[in-house]
Amino acid sequence: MKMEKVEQLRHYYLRHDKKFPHVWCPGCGNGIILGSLIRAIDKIGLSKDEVVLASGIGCAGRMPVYADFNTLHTTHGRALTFATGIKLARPELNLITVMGDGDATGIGGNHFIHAARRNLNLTAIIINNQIYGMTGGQYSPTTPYGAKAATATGGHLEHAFSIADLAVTAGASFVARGTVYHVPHLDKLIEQGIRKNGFAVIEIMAYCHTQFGRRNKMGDAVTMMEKLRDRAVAVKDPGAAGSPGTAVAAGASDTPGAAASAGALDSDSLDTLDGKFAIGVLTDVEKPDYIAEYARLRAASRLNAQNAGNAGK
Amino acid sequence: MSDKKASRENDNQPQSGVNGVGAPQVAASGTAMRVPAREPARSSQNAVPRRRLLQGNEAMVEGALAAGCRFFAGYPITPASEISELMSVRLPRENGTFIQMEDEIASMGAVIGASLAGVKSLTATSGPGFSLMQENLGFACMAEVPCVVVNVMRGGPSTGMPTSPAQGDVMQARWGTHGDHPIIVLSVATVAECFEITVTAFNFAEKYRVPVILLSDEVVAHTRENIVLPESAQLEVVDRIRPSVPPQWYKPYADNSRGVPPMATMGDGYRHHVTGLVHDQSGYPTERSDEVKTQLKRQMRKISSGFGEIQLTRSFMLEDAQVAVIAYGAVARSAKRAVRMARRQGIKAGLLQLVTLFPFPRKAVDQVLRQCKAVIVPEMNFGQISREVKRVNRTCRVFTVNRIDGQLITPAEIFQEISN
Amino acid sequence: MAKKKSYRQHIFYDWCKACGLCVAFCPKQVYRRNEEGQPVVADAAKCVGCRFCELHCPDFAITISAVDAPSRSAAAHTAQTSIEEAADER
Repeated sequence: MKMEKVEQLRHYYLRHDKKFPHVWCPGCGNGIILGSLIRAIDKIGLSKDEVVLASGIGCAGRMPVYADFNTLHTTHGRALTFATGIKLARPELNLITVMGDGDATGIGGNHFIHAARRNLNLTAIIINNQIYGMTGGQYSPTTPYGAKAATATGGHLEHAFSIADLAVTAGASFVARGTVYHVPHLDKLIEQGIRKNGFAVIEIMAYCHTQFGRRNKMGDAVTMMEKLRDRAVAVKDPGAAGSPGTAVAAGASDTPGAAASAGALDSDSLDTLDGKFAIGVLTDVEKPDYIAEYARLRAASRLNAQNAGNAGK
Repeated sequence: MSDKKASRENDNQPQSGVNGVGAPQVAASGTAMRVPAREPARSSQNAVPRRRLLQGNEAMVEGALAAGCRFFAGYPITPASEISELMSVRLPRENGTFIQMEDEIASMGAVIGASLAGVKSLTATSGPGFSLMQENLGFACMAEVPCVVVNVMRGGPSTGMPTSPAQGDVMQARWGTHGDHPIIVLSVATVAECFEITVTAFNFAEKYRVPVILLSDEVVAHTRENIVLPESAQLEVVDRIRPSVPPQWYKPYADNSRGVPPMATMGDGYRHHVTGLVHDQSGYPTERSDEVKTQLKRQMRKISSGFGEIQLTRSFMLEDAQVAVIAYGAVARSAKRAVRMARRQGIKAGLLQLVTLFPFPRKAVDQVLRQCKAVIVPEMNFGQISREVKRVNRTCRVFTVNRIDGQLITPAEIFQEISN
Repeated sequence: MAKKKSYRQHIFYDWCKACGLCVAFCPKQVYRRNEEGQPVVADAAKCVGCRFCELHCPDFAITISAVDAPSRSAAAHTAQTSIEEAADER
């Protein structure tokens, strides 16, 4: 009797010796993202041995342990640095990192912008629930202005930045944003991100009803999921038929201001609790392949060494 | 792009000719990729041992390469930058990979990543960078990831005196990262040791699955000396033990007689979980006290069971010594000279040079303390190893010579102390 | 007009955390919540197989299977229970 495809995926990709149901709160989007990631990997047809799933610390950090890949749960904010080491040491491995908004752009911000600038072939999935959830709802770099948080009981004084814009201006060659509501769309984005040869950032707008929603009159998963449904605005996919995306001008990222209409749409609206934001592929540009270039460097330096050696005879 | 084939480079570059233990190939069946035992000595073109004039930092690079290191991630910092610079030239030539990361935290993370991917990895820094590396260093201790961290000590604290020698990071090397953790701390005093002890550091890291801190200082790092690079075939190079059970039986953190579990490589079929959380035998996070106790005790036991091999010291004229100097790093050089000066004056003096600082070589130090009337511990700090010596001491009188002004302690100062 | 396809909703209550997403977002109101808040199939016939619930269940607790022939659905049901038992031993 044939099992449903989705059941096969569960049996094949979820670790059998890990306790389910998983650790996340009822209704948390992380489980949805894990499902989406598994479907994307299955669609591409990567073997489980060649996938390395690394994560930082936080709710997102607990994702890899449930999946039957080479999994790594690193220190807070540093997932991308570990992934960089693994990718350089064994380029044939497919590196996927899963981080929260605080993990990737708070404590991990320095590594995030440099991983983007370096454009090594890594996939960075950033789950943006706009709060430090695991530690009890403290505000994060993406907590909107005026929102309530455990460390902003009087209303948040700081302003949120847009992770996607940050990635684009830092030089990532593929940046997309999805939500945990638009799951088939998310599957596609993650798949595109993994296929991309370069630093691929997939920002996933998610929610934390337990620590963030509760303090901002959105105390349950359904309400927050509805908000995602209503706030997301699909941007024309730049990948489609090569036409430059309306979101972000393809090619070199010039001054942030000129990032794009959707970019501008993003930055102020993400600083509010219910402003619209763009979803879809925001940038998809071609850049030199770090691994290939380093391989050329190896060959060239070996050649020079030999020539120098012969000259020495 | 196919993986890097570890071909034996016979290029006649004098300083290389290093055994081509390159990046591991992807073995389809997940069998051990590198033969743990050294291959029998092979005749190689440059059989004549090579005499080189090298700087301490350069010798460390050659030692690392000889030990099979094929990955370096670092960040520029005086007085350790030469290691990065030379690695950026040498590694591509040896089929390895060099990268300069955005900070020392990232460098430590990349080193751990590369090691998890099966490649021996190194980073090198100085005081400020070493402080930044502590958290990830703790991860390497907890996840038992072999790697070597060179700390070329300079005047501290804080920015301190970047171009002056000091030994103020000794306690940090042992206790820098939080929590009780296993770690090995070695120190070098000469350029020859920079080569030789770096190889030892990698061997310990691989054998005990532990980060090894290699303490140098600005003097040793920047001193140039004529040294003989041993023939790579003569070198004992240890590789981590790979799992031999089939993947589905593999427990990444199971106990065994040595307390050091075989280590699989990411991508070779032994998919498992690596985490900084306290974990059980399968590597999964646990808070069950019995599993926590087993895991943490094993990690400590694996080092203590290896004390005999790990605790390296060198003695000079100690046989009949009544006054002994216990020193390490550049100060050991001055101490050796001072001992000779004392001997010329008929004073029975001797030197115990500590190569291993932690785990503290208690047996060797205890023996000297029992044998001698007085022991002198000269250090370029306010007294760090001297505290360990006093802790071990029963009856002997221990004197310290502490110099913190950024200048190397001179033989005369030590001799002065000996003759009192 | 092609024969209208019907679907079965398998809810694996061991993993379901009663978050309510499936009940709230099912476009055809196939589910209702029992007293513990867990989904119960109210009207399987209304299901159009959009799999929204399956895709959005954070705990992998819902499986939708298309029902072609009557005999097959019985087999599907037994398979599902055996899977549940297998998972129970975990």
